[in-house]
Formats: sequence, structure tokens, C-alpha cells
Amino acid sequence: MRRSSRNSRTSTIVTSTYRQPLEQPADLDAALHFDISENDDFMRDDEARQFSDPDSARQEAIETGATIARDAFILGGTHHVVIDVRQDDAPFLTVSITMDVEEKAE
Amino acid sequence: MTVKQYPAEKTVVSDGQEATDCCLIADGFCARSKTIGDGKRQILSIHIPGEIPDLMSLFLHVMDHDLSTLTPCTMGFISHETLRRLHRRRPNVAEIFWRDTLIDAAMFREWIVNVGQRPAPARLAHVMTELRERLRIIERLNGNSFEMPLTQEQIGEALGITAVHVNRVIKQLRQEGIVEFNRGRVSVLNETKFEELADFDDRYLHLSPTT
Repeated sequence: MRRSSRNSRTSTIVTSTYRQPLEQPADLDAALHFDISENDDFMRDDEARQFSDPDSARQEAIETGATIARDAFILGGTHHVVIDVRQDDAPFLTVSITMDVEEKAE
Repeated sequence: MTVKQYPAEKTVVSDGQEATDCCLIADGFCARSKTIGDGKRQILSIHIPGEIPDLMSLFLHVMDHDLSTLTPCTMGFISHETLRRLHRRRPNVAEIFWRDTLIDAAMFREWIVNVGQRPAPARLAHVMTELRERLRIIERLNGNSFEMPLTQEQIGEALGITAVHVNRVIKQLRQEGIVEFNRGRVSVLNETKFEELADFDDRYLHLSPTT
């Protein structure tokens, strides 16, 4: 996804990517951990959450990334938010959201 | 008054239901909420013992939201007819109930501002501060700690964020030494930082009966 808004001086670009293993079971019933990174600040999730299907886990990751990025980008200082979802140590999916603001000369 | 026991996460009065009684919470925590088409629930308000969260049903007969338990609850049901008789006999009670519904509206305004404008840590701190002030009135504070026996899912539904995001915010507040969460209780570790984060002004609760 790529979104851009412009005025005469500033260009704000938000990009998001989403990666997951090619094959995922339709029925999941797994405990998943959601590790969160804001720039280089990493927070490991030690409390697993139970999900019965991949879609609800995917939705949780995307919404979490979106609301954390909203706060972090508006408050400033953070330009990159990543949600890494894993089942124990096996990667399940990654949501990555980056914002670039380009100041333009008048 | 009829008294009933409810388990956690049980609907007491449903959206669309014609209510014939008002519910007084004797024990436990309840919430008013609305659920959208895809099944997501927005918690609109949290209610504590001593409150009658569906007082509006006395005049607005069809519920436009759900009233549900968040924790196991004891509820007293007072019939609308009984309340109407009380209003006729004691107009000052009717005035108190009217004031209660106006404060209810003031709290909804504050919640809209909170969910719409504050970042998640401040949102949570604001809801916690409001809850603490209301628990203080019913003498349910214990030093610097108070009950908040909500799950991370329920807190997320009140703040408009996911349970994972709630978990992240709770960890952040704990790491910054502001509050500690333990078995449904919140302990405030740094009052100054907590109040600063919550950006809380209690005017909207109209706690003084003379103003």
C-alpha cells in the first residue's frame, strides 16, 4: 500500500508491507506471540494469544500495526513500525509500516 | 426489586429489546456497548456498583445499545412502573435521575474526545483515572490501588485498539514506573506522571451536587 499527500513544501508517504508464509492452515488453533518494533525499540511478547484461524490473527496484527503507527507517527520520532507474529520461534507473519516525510524547497 | 446473578460477559439487556425494568448494579462491573456489522464491539461506558446504567430505558423504551456484564455481577431489577410511581411521589428523586442522565451524556462526550484524540497510553490512563474517581465515591479505593478487573480484550474494546496493543501499552506504563497491573487491580506508582499522562479534568463528572 502506498499513500501520499502533498502541499507545496511537504510530502508524506506511508508504505506498508505484509509478509506471511505461503502455506498456512485454514484451521489454526495456535498460540501466537506479537513482537513489536518501533524504529529500533523492540518489545518481545511473552504472553501468547490463542487464535482459531489465520484470518483473525492476521487482522489482529494489521490493526495493531495501524494503531501503533498512528500514535507513533503523530507523536513524532518514529517512522517505522513492525509487528512480527510467531508461533513459538517459527515466523507466522510480519506487518511492516513505514512513513517518510520529505520537506520540499519552495 | 428482583435480584439476579450473572456470569462475566453476559448480556443483561440487548440492543433492540423493550426494557420493562431498570438495572441497579449491586456488585461487579458492567459495560454499555454497541456492536457493528462485522461483530466488533465498542464499549461506550464502564459501570460500577451503585449505578443504574439503563436509566434512560424508563423513557426510551427500546434499547439502542447492549448492557452486558464485564465481570460476574449481582443486579437488582426495579420495574419501570415502580420508578414512575416514585417519580410522581418524590419529584426530587426525579430531578436526581434527570441529573444522572445529564452526567451520563457528559461522560459520553469525554469518552468521544478520549478515543478520538488521545494516543493509546493517555487514553488508557484517562479511563483508569475516571474509574478511580468513581470508585473513590463508593469507597472502593485501597491506598493507591483500585479495581479494574477487565481483560485486555475488554480494555481494547473501550479504547478502540486491539488486545495486543493494550498489552504493549500496559508494558510501557509498567516500564516507565507509572502504574502496575496485577490480578485485576491497578496500582499507581507515580501519581504525577499518571495525572500528567491522563490529562484528566474531573469537571465532566459533576461530583458536587450543588454545581
